[in-house]
Amino acid sequence: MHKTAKKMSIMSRSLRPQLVVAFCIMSVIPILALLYLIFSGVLALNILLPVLGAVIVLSLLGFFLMKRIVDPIIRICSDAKVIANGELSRKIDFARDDEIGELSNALNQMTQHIKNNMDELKIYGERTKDINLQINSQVIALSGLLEISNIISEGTSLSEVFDIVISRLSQIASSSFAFIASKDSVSFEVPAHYGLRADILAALRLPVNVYVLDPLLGAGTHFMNDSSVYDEESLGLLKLFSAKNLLIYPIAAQGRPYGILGIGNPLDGFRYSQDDIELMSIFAKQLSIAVENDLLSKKVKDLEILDEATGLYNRRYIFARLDEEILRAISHQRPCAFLVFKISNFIDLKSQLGKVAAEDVLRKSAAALTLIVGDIDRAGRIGENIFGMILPEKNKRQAQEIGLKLRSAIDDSFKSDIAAKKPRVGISILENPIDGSDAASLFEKIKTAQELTV
Amino acid sequence: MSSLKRVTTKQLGELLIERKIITPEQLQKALDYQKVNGGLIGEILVQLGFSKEEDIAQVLTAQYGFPYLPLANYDIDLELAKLIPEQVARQYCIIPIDKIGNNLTLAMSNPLNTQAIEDVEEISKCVVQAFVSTTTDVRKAIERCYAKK
Repeated sequence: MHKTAKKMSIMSRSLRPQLVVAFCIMSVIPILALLYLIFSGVLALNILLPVLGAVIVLSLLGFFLMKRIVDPIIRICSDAKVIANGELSRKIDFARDDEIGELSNALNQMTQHIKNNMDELKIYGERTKDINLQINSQVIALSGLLEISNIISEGTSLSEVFDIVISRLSQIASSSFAFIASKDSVSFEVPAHYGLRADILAALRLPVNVYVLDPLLGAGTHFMNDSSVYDEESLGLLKLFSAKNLLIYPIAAQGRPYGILGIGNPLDGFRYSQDDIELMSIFAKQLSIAVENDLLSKKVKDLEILDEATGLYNRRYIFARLDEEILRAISHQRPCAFLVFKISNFIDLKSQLGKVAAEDVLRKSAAALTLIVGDIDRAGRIGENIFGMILPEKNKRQAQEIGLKLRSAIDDSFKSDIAAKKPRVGISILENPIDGSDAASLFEKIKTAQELTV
Repeated sequence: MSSLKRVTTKQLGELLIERKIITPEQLQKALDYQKVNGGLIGEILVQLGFSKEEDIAQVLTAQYGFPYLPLANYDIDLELAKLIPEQVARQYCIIPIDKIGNNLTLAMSNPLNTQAIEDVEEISKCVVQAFVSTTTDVRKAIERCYAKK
């Protein structure tokens, strides 16, 4: 009801129906009044036509005047709606000097102002986004640096350090690939990489490409993009990686070049930032430390001569010492025996009693072995369950006597143990020169050597 | 093992001095050389020119009763040589020269090397009878025998 009333009311309508109503009021009603005056004889017929004409002209004039006011308002309203919907580039174009012109100018200025503000906000938004991305990548890189420092100090394996460095590098400086290449005697190896194609990897390993990568080992940063380099070597490098931008740092250890660390991408117009270059230098330094640590720990391992579990000499020492003793034996025309003592049920002991108990058996056996070791003899653990004793100046017969003593020493050591905990011992004797003329040939015969019978 | 009996506890160097083949100074020089370079004292004395191989063989023969066997013109049976592996023959400087029944005759530069004799007896399952020969003769014989294999 209320809606119908509103619909019927002329006040509730928009400007255009109101214009029609106004026209009716201004023209139809005066005409009807005029006709009434004519037919009631108030007005003479001879002035009817001029009066009628004047009324129509005035009505039309009034209509057009009103239309001139209303139409721009309607257009402004329509444009304002479009602007309100977000089309800020829309302009209200009324070149008039009156209030409507001022209104349209004011609206245009307001729209422009809003548009400028919106543009500015957009720019700020983009900048904020870039800053966020930069902060994120720097946070990732810094946390990566911390993580790598931690794992290096924890003594993590070099391959694991390489993998973590590569995964962190792949997240910085729009890298589409990252790699570590190490130099061996004739070519480069790629122990870790991200995003390098198989054909590039194969090319890096080719000895023919050593001349492209070799100059990178000794120098500092190699920072390049294809628009800034013109020399043949750098272009060859970009071609090798199918990249347009490359950032490469050398890795050195113990004062010698080890390899290179690099990232790259195929982006046009890209440039590495100072932050990227600094981060890469830190990553390269960390890798140098990791490589150096690895080399040192290998050296330490090589220098180790004792077996951790038993305290006897380890396999490496016994092998080297046996070689030395055989050389001495050859030089003095003497024999050198090598007694091999195996716990043949060691696997059973381990599965039945557990690793700790099995290692106890090993330790007790080693202790029994040390009881019969002479001044110039050397005993060691040469396999998981195998011991060896170098007996310089002794031949098979003499070594067999020592073997029998060893057997009884072991029997004594395990006398109080239950049967399930006793080792089954097999002793065999090898001798230079009968069984071989160096340590390798004697070690080779360990498996096939005949065991000593009681 | 053979009935090898050592009739004296004296070292080879002392025996050579007693027989005036070398002087104590020469022995000392040879011992010094041995300390640095290793090797057998008899061979070093020969190498330094202080004595001849034959002198050493004769001392061993006279002192221990080992028979001396000059191998230069001795024809060695190659089948017999197979009884002892080449590396054993080279390391101990020995060469088998005859086998009668279970007795193996062995020419060696150092018949006092009882471990070598034991090893040969272990390998050949024979009783060894040792003869003295010069190192050069034994090495030449080894070359002749094992090179022909």
